[in-house]
Amino acid sequence: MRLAAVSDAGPLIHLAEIDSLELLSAFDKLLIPETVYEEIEKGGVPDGLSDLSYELVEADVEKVESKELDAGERAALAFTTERAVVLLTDDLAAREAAADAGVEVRGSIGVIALGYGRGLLHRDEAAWRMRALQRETSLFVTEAVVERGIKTLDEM
Amino acid sequence: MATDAVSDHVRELAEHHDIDESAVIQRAVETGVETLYRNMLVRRYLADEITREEAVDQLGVEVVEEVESARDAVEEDVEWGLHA
Repeated sequence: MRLAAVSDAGPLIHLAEIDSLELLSAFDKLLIPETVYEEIEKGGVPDGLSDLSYELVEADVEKVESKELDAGERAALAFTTERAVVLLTDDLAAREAAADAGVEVRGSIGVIALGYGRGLLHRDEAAWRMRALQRETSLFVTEAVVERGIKTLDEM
Repeated sequence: MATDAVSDHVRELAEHHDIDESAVIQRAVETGVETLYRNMLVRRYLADEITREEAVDQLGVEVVEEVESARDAVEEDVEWGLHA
């Protein structure tokens, strides 16, 4: 099955912080809204992004009304709605809004699991990267929740 | 964090709050222990070692609901990643 994803800034930043942007190549197509690209440009475009194959897309930010979501999150969600693509976000409010809109939504942990599922990573490497997300990035997630994810990895 | 940086931060905090460096360290220990304790409660709740009621009682309903949302998101993500 072909898999396409549109990402907001979160996963691009968090995966870059643990040198794991290459895992996004597990998707057959990666789309980045221009609003999101402009957001990450402000903090410096991560080194690994230029090695990825992705397409910049325009999205109507005004299409999604939400005070809780920033412009990038709204752009990514707006683009995803009505298209068969996965929304990548690490923001729980964006995740909830996407679920309410019937959009399939995943986060950085899911990208690592996908890398493992598609044979890009061994189990230990996937577990190490999940723990690194919690320890070494600006992603807010508790250690216990990450360990729960690793346990799920082992149970599948 | 390097020892020098910790010392600098303690000095700066003491000056900022106009208190002794020992008081800064005492507050840091109290804050650190509280954080570690709350993390332990989250871990125990997710491991079913304490009930939801006990977790809510000690962490508050908002924290517990946030932990549950994060747990559900992570579990769903991993299951999806392995089968997508």
